[in-house]
Amino acid sequence: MTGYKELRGRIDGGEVIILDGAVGTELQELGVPLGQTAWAGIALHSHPDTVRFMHESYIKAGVDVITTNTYSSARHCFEPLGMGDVTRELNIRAVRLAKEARDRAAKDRPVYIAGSISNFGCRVGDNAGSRVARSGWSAYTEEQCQANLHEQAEILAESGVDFLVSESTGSTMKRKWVVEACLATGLPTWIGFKSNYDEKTDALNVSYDYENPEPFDSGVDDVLPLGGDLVTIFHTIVETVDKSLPIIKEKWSGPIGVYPDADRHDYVQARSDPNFENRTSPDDFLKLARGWVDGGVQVIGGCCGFGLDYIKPLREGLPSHIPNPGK
Amino acid sequence: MYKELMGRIGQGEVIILDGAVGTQLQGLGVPIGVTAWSGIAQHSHPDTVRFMHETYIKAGVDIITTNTYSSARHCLESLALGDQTREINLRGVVLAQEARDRTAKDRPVYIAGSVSNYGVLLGGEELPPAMVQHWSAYTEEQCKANLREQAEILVESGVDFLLAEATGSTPHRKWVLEACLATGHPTWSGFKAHHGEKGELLTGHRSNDPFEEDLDAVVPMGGDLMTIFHTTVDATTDAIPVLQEKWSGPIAVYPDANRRGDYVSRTQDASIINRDTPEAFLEEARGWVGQGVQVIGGCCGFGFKYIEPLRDGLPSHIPTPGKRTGTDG
Repeated sequence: MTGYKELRGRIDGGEVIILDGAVGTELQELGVPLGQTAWAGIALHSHPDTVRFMHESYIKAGVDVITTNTYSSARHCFEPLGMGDVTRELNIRAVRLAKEARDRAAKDRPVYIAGSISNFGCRVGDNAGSRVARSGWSAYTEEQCQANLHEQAEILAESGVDFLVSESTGSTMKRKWVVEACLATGLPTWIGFKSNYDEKTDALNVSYDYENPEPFDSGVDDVLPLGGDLVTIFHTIVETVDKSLPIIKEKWSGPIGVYPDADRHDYVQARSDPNFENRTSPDDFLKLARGWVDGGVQVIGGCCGFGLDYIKPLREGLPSHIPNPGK
Repeated sequence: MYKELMGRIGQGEVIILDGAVGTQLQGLGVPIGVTAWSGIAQHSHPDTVRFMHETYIKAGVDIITTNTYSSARHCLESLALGDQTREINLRGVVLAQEARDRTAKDRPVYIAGSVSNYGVLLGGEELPPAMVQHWSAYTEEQCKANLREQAEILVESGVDFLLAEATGSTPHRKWVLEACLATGHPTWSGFKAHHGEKGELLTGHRSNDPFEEDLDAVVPMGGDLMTIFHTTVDATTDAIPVLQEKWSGPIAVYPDANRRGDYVSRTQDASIINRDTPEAFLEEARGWVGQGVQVIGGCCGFGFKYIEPLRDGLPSHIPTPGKRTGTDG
């Protein structure tokens, strides 16, 4: 908690905090094959040193916060691979690798560790994931999924993360499960929202689920009262971040974080598509980030597809503080 | 770190390199496979690898070498471990760093990243069928790309410098050295010699190419320091003056024990006794230092027992410091 209190103090002082970039796709970039079932979560088992190296690279790039590779390491991600029994082991290892990276690379400044929890692999109810993803997952009851998320959040808390980031990309029901699991640990939690713009209906929705669209506006209303220390828009393409920020600002007066994704199609493929280039360059990304900071966003990082090359310029390129601290 | 090391070499200091890595792991019970030799011990026996590095540091060496001699992609792919290429090479460096952190509390220890021609079928010397059958065939471009990939991973992972360790013929030596130099990281360029039937010095294991011609082809490519390695004690003693004619900068030697019988066997063959005792090795090493060789270590078959006496047994400096310490060949 000392670590997080310090971080929170810096945020309250108006400081701009830099979060790491993509975790899963950065591991993919480093040659770790991503699987459908546990996505990058399996790298804790197969490529632990590469996971630590990825964290170290972000720390050397100047970030203040690194995120554990636990987005897809709840029990329901490992069980279909016959690895349910190493759920605790691999989540503990994820935190240990982040701590080792901090010890090795952050000699003279604080680096905080965020524990990631998501709805990945929660194959239940509506919006159960893409057809491809579903084929790699087992079916669980709502109770099992919730219990698995609580288990994972507790392991991460016990292992010593400074705070939790709730990163649900799915329906509001699942976002609530993830947030509740995080908050139940008593650790400070950042509440993540995904926003998806549907061109056909000109509407902002809470997930990719085009069949059962849930409006972003009411989705935020449903989740915010649960609690949380900071609100983020994450894994959302940059244009949609701009559309969604005013809605968050209207409903939430506390600090805001943004870590968008690069709009790639190869997130869940074993290897990145060498013929596909991000449409946003690192320079463009820095300009966008400056705009978000000018608008009062205090935490900037990257999600899928925005890796090390995009994060490196942030430390030097972003102002140290938001325009009107304390506002 | 590396600047400090080269500064010490520039002052004429004698620097001690570690001994055998692969055969020392074999001596510690790690089964050696032909396909990736000791290169997968990071995967199967990581704590033993770290222990080996720690033991050398405790024996007083200044430089430890990563266990990456045989962990390029072409060594690992034949074992279905191609996707572990970064992980295994990165771990090779991390284990050396951990050994340093744990053991070298009050003095500098430098980490050398090893890159070799191991597992490269094409463009080299003819190999015994028993080895060839373990390896997949790759094109020249693939081999070069794999070596470049490995050298880059080692540099990104934090080695202080690279050791180009090709034992084969001149083309392989060039490929390995090119891959190391392309990283922009400091590199020591390694040469191997053997005696021909008439006692002449030839390059590599089995090549009939004169050692001198190999030096003429490779020395001008670059490198901060030239080494004679994995070469028998006798051939090393003969090769030093030949190298000194072609290169005025600092020289390292780390010979092998001529245990042809079990280098690539699963376990050590207890019936094979090294020709050289640790005492004899120390005497030879003193002679090499007297010839101006500044870096002394061991290769295959010369493990802990041979390295331990060096710190106390060798002089701290070469006889006429400054004479052979220029870096421009």
